[in-house]
Amino acid sequence: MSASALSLVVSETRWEQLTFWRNPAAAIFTGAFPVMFLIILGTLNRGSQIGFYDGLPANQYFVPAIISFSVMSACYTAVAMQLVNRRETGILKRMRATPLPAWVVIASQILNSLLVALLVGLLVGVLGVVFYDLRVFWARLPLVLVIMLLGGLALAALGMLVGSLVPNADAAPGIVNFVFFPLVFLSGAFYAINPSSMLARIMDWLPLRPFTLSIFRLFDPRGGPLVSARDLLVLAAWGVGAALLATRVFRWEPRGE
Amino acid sequence: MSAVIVEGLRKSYGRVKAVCGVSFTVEPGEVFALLGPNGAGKTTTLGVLEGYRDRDAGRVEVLGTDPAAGGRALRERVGIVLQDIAVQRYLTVREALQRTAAYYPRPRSVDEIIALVGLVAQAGTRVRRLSGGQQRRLDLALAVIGRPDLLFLDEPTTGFDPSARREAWTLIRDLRALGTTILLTTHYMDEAQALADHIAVIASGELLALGAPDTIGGRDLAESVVRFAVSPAVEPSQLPLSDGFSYDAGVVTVRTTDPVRLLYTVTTWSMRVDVHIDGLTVTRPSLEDVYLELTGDSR
Repeated sequence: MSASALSLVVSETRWEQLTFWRNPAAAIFTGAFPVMFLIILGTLNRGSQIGFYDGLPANQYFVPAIISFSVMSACYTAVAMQLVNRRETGILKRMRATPLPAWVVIASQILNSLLVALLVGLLVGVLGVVFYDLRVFWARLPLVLVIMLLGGLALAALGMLVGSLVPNADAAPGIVNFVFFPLVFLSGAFYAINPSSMLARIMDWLPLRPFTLSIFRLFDPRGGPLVSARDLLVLAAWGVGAALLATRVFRWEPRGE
Repeated sequence: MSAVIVEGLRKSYGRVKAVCGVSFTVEPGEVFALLGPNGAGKTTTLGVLEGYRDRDAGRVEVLGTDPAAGGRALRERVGIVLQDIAVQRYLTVREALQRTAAYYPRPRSVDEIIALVGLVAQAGTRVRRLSGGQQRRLDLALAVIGRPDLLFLDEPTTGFDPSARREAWTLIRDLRALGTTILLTTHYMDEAQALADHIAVIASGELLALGAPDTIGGRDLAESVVRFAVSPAVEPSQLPLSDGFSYDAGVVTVRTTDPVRLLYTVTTWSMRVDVHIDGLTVTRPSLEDVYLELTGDSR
């Protein structure tokens, strides 16, 4: 990895940021969706408590859950949709004809998504503090950042995998969201799930719930362990597995050419 | 060293033979046209040269390198314009060029390229607001910003109106004058005629003819048609011609492999016997005639 390749990653990530925020569809879905869910859930759950979390104020769970949803939206959905879009419109094929190394193309897209995730997550957190009584443990913030980045990487790998499996542009929203939204609900990002339920025990093996809980723990005032090695291992296993599979099924061109 | 060498190239998709044994070379600094009807195998051939397609058989060299082994060094020296436009929609013309210029070791100046493709007024416009023709010109600009030694153009003017085609031709000639070797595909005969130093005619995956536009397919050796009119009072037997001409109410049509000698004979005769000649024309077989004759069997 030479210095010029690194500076290419930096400049490409900058261009990705510019195009991302200039694209109204991307900005609205990725940026405004989490804020919308925060307002809906935060308002609905104001004043209520979660029994199986020892009567914890509901929003102390839901605001962190929406922060994790921001990362899912920016790193999984946006990466998958952008990959399909660029492949089907020939932009990837065209980039492959330039001397830009393939890994720079991928790395700058993922870095871009991580940046978006951090920005949207920060926005949700600030709104949570201001409007929904989110209590922040300042000393834990560096850990929040680390978990967001680790989770974001794993989710981006899943996004790359699903985006590579999507056959064409028309199928993209359906397939990408069909995987995503049921898992988001069942993982407890929008609806707190009793940890001792059968559903929770199943979802503990899929990537989204371990990620949601890993963020929540860092906002949990009850004084349990801050980090669950098991959850992070599950998340990492999904990320590494998805990344390995994605390198096998990744395509630079639309199918049928 | 030749810019492109293709020897016995073969490529099939399943049972469909897209290219069956095509050979040609492109010399540095020239414009070379792959001319053929749709489905002839032009784009497949180009895809192999660009490194997008693997091949079943044959030797291929692009700037001395096998494009299948490609690599960054080769991509730094080759520019590619694909049939479909593919440009980032949310950058401006200038930004898109600045971004791409950074990929190359010695890029051209962004302003120079913007002027070359005639997008000075649109330099600050976002790509999505450009017209189709302007996007195609930006696509070409992106392909040459890296100062390529070799440029691949896949049907560069398909779908253009006549004036846009003329502009594109001027642009291609300008690039050639800058020393860029250009390999283009086209199904327009006039385009090949106007631009190319050498033409390869292909159809159904086979090379049918190879040569300069003026001589391809024996065009220079084929019979020209000389036609002129004399007063209907002139009898066919009075004409200074032997057999092999047609005469219809004073209109004479002659086929000859030696139009210069024939014209000399006819014009000196006209002076000597004082017969007025009207509407004298000499028609050489057009590239279109040659092309249609060559590709006729394979359709």
